Amino acid sequence: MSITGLQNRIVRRLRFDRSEIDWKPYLYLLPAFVMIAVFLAYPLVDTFILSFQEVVTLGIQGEKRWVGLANYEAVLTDPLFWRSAKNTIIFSFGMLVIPLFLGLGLAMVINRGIKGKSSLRALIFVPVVVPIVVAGIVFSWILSPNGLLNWGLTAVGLIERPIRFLNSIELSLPSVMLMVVWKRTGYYMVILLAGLQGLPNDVYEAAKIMGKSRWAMFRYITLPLLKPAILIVVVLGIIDSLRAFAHVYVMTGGGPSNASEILSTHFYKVAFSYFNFGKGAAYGFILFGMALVLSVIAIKLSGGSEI
Amino acid sequence: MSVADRLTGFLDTDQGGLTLAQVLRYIAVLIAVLFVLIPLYWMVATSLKDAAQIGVFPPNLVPDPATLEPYFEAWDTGPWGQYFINTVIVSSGATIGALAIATPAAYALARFDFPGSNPIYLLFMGLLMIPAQILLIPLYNLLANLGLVDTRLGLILVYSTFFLAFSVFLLHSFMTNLPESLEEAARIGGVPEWKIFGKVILPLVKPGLTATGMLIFVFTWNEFLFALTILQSEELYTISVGLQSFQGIHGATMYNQLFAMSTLATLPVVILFALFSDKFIEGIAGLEMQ
Amino acid sequence: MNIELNNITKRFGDLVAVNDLSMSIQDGEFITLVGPSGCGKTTTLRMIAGLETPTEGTIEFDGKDVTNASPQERKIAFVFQAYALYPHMTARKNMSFALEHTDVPEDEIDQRINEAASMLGIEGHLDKRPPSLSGGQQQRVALGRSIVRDPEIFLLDEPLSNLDAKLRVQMRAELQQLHQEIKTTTVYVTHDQEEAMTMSDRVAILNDGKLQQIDTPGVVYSQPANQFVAGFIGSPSMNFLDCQLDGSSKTLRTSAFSLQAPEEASEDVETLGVRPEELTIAPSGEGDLSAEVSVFEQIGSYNILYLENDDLDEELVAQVEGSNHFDPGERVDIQIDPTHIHLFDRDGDAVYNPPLPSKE
Repeated sequence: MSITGLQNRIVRRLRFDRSEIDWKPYLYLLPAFVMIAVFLAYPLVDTFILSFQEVVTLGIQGEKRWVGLANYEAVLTDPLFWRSAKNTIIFSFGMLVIPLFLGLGLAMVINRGIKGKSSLRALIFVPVVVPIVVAGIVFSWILSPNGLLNWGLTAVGLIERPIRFLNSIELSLPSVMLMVVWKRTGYYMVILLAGLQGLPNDVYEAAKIMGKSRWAMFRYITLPLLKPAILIVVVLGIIDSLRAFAHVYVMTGGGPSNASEILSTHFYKVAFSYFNFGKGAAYGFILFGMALVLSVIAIKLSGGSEI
Repeated sequence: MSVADRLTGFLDTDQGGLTLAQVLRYIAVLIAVLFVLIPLYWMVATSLKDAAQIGVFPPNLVPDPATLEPYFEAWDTGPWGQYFINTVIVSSGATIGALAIATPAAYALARFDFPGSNPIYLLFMGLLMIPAQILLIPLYNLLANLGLVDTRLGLILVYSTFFLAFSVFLLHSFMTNLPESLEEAARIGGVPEWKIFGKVILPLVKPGLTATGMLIFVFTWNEFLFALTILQSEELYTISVGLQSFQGIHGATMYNQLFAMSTLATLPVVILFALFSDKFIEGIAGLEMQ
Repeated sequence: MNIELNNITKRFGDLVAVNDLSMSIQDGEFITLVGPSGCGKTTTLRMIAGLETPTEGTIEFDGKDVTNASPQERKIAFVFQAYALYPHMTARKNMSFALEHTDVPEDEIDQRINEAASMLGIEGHLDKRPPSLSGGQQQRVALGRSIVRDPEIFLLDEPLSNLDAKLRVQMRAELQQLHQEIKTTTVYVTHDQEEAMTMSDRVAILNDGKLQQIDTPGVVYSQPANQFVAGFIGSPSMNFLDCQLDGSSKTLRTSAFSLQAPEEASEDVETLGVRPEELTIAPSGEGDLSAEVSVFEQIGSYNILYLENDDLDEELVAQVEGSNHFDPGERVDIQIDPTHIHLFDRDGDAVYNPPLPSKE
């Protein structure tokens, strides 16, 4: 490089340092940062501190005392926590696995060309926009002893006496899951349908010309190409399983005797029904940790899939 | 196309095309549609029954007689009008709030290359993954300090923050699709920055704003946990909290009234969805496709 | 306005988009940057516009350093490949948008728009929005938007590449006419050598981020500085054959034939270049070599022959008059005028070019 070139570069460096920082994007981001700082970051720090404390006098504003890791210990030694964790895993089948398979199947059926494709897609999506409380109430009614389902099962002779679905230790969680499947299937279908429609048609035509079977096409073309979409759906499904609250709360309240308790309803009870804010905060951080670990795993997986 | 062509075309698809696989496909779709519709039908049907038909087993599949009476009866038992007004205020406020804050943020991330843009984008992605309820306690605490517990404003602020990351994400994808040369043309012309954002980018990203706004509106309309926790006075309840409390008080005895109100609570979002279903689905699918 | 590029280098990470480029553009000149995709021509244009900042080197406008000046400080107009019209604004609004915040009075904005519109023949379309305009009309609106700003420099980035072939030729003529009317310094980027040749005062050929040659269309065609320019300019492309110089007899030998070497030829000659139109058909037995027609392409005003000779690895392309017809498989004799050949050395640099044709 010539001397003048070097000079130019040095001069430009200096200039860059002084004037070339563009403040505009930071300005645009400022309101969002303020919001996040006040309503997310600060509460998060606050709850972190609270998770090592015990509220001595009544109410969340009450006097506090340091208790070290006692709150975390209290959560992790609580048998109900582990029961809720197990139930959450079962629940995630309703939130994710079953509707994902149904949604994928429906997406493929609809994508294959059926009359009224877009209105069908919209119709199957409708449960997604129905308020969760309404869905819970409706399904409670359908599943009640003198409800529609019991009538149907009696009418075809499958049962003799009405089943108390929501009051049954074995059936309360699956009952909630039935509603969740109803609400989630359209959601996954729409996402996967968008993914399917984005797949290049000529790849299929080429496979057809080569005489590949439908199964081979699905296994070796559709699935690999849909993989990124499916992965993202799986991630969000897992996190939504940790997030879901009203689903259980409205239909069973976690009962009978905690048979349908999931982490988020149990957490709510600890914090707001028993007013154990310190333990609740620790519980929250344990949930946060789980979400974080699952997210990182998911991001790793989806990142790996792009290569 | 001649009539004869059309006719043969029609026959082709109807006779030659209807294979076993196709029949199975139609059956699968039919089952799915029934599965979707039966609960909705049952909600509306129950809402049209008088009290005498509620405890009956076997149930009347069709209300007989059908009556709008439960709607009027329920309306008089609680401040339902107020619930609806509250929900509209909170949902609209949250939608406007989230969009107002998220749009400039998405613009910065989508259209500028600046130190820190990638980590900030990842931060927003991470926020999207936080299970919101873990913030329940500290947020409650914060709102209590600010005197915003049991206020609609408190709920609006919380919703706006929670849907912020979601909105940034969605709007970001809409904005990155715009050609860069649009802003470059304006910058070369010396158009001031606020005008590039306000007069070039915003109008072009309007479909994205509509889709995002509608999703936020529907999600907040349906939100339950935070509304339940933050709102305590009955006159501030949103419709979801109102329904849940009605169910708690009256239980199984007044299912017709409960469903009358449930139908009313569902109607606005379903109508909104029906009117803009394409935008809606595009929004949902777009978010996931990132 | 003069533009001076001094040792410009632009790197994107490890990629060197523009490599030590220097050139000076005279006031009022129409200059074209041409080259294959990825050669750095658009990056160069964007650096002149201020949309990119050079990693090294400086840019001067009329002797003033503008290397770090913002686009709007440079008083330039830029026409984008996809036009970059604001789809939600009318054509008129598109043209006035950048002027609204300046101190140009409103009636003058109107007057300028109307003038530009009549110059471009789009008076009738000013109240339409871009999506309802044809490609050619959109192109004109984009040009109009640049003209009304009364810029010191026009920068155009492949503005015709989105138009169909016929419209492209028409717009080519219109752009030239426009330049003659407003006489503003214009830098035009294209990958189409024909566009470059027909429109510009001077052509700058770039490859791999480096300037290969900058000169008038006539010179770059007849006296290409190197083998890359020789091959890039002209269609069909120049024929290249391996050759050696026999110093004692001053003869050029290829694997199939020999030619009298020009005086300037030196020992390091490696490649012989002959333009297709310089391969002439000779009466049987009188040519420098005989070859078989493998493909005959009828264009109309001229025709193209693809020729094969058993002793040559390369296929030869010859351009003959439209009245000459051949069939595949036919044998023809070819003559090469030794004064109309190009010779290149090992590095591809030109060793010999024929003299420029004198004007009649």
